[in-house]
Amino acid sequence: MNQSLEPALGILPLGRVGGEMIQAVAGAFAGEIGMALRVLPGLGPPAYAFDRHRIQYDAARIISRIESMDIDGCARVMALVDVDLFVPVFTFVFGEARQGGRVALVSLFRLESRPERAVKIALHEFGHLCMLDHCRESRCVMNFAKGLGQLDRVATYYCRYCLSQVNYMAGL
Amino acid sequence: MKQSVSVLVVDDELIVRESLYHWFKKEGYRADTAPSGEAALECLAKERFDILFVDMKMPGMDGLELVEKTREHYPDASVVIITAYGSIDTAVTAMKKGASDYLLKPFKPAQLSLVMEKILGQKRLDRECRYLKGELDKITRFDNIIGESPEMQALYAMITDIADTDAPILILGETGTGKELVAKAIHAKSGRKNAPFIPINCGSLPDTLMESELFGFTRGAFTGAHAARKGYFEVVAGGTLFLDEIGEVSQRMQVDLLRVLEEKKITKLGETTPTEVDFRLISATRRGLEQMIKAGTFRQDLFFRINVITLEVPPLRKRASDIPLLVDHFLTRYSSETNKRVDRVTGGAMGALLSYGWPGNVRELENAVERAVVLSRSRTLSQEAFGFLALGRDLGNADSRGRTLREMEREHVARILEHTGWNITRAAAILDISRTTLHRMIKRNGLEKP
Repeated sequence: MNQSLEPALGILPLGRVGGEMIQAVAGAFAGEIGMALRVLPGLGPPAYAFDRHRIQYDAARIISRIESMDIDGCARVMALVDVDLFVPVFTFVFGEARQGGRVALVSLFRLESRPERAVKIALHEFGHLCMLDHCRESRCVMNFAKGLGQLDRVATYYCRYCLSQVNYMAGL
Repeated sequence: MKQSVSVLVVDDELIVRESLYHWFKKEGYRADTAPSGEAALECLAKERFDILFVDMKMPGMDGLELVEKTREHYPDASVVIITAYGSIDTAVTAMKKGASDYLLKPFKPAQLSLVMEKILGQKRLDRECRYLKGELDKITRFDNIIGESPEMQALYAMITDIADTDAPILILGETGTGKELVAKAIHAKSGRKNAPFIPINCGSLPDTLMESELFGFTRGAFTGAHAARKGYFEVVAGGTLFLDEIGEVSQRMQVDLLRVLEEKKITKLGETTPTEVDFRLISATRRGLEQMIKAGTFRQDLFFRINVITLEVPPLRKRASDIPLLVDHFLTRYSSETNKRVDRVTGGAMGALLSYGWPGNVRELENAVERAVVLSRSRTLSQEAFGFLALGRDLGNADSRGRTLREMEREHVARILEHTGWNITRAAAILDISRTTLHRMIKRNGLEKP
């Protein structure tokens, strides 16, 4: 993976991810943050992360795998997957990212094919890559959504405090 | 606000610790992890945690044992049990032992949010309840005097009995015993409570300054008197005047004081017409006024005037049972003032504090706790934290090996005399000998009053 901190985001589809989902996420980043981004060639479904007891995919293992890959020209990677994700203590997660990490993950599995939901999860996880905590502003995309109902209530943008942090961390 | 809430995740599985740690960090909480029950107890000894998330099954100390130990030693910390499906019985047992809630693995992130909201809500209520209890305590406790020992109970009873009279009171007690607090308590319980309470330390004012401060002056009364000023006798106007260290007042001032007490009138510096004054006098001293009278340094007539009622505040060593209560009170105060979480004293440290002689009394104890809190790097104060007090090297524990009985007698008598400010009556009482015997010992050992 490229170690330079270029202000570029790579969007990486894993498995069967529809073009409209990719377009929606790419458009949101270009519009909301105005950062340079690149849609990377898609990869197959992450079979290596499948847990046969839970019949779900381990988000941490997918992130680790992508972090170990050599992806040129991208400071950060936003992977979109069509499978159901989990982290060990939780029944499922919509997305996953380590604060300050390079790779974030968005699962489209529970989003009922609605691109605006994928956009919200992607912006939210990208905020974590930029060291943001969950935001108390109820409409901010960094507000923690406990379920789809709450996800639908948050906006597809950051509050001004979160946005300034994202801009700073993204080098914009 | 969430940053002020600290969470400790205790689980032997790294992946679980990491998952929860990152979730709490994203939520904005202060978080830490421990891989075992034993490690969790070490974390708790070093730092305060508000909420613990504890896995039920761990090698070594299991979750249930950790719940018990946490409830026993850190009752302010809430514990949430994390357990796998099928071990609900154990979770219920944990709840009975004091756990606040439990979560079945795996759980929805929303469930974790709900548990946090519930516990934080409960903690907010507890905090409010503690605050209100504290306010109630302020109203009901004896005007900031702390102590439940029989000696203090007798003192409280005496204060209540004499507060409403107008008789002058002389408070006796060693340095640092809280004579001014007693004076304030008498004022607060008297009919003069809505008028001022004015404390004056006679030892800290030079004679001339004391005269102008007490009596006041008119403009031009002396060089530098550019404007008239009321003295404390006038300013106190119906309240209580507290003259601390009255034994330090010069003989000339003693005459002036006596006149005011007899006539209840003052004549300001630069004035010829007397002004009527109304106040209650409370005096205090750590010196033996009777000895001073014999030595001719304190007027007997003034002594009778100020000593209508005598109160003696017991030294801390005579009410050692109050030490834990006082330590607790000072810990709370200085933890809050220094913004450090120090709220415990080990059994060893408390034992050492109880056996120490406290020549400086409550003030020395207060200073000791403040110093220990300021320098402490852990939330628990050990005996080493009070090392500066030379614990174990005071009166009762002086090393006697290789020393003669006469040497020990001389040293002991000298220390007691020093503690009592050479008050023969009190020193004799402490040594449980007659005054005559004490005088004989002083002479025999060649001891001299400093």
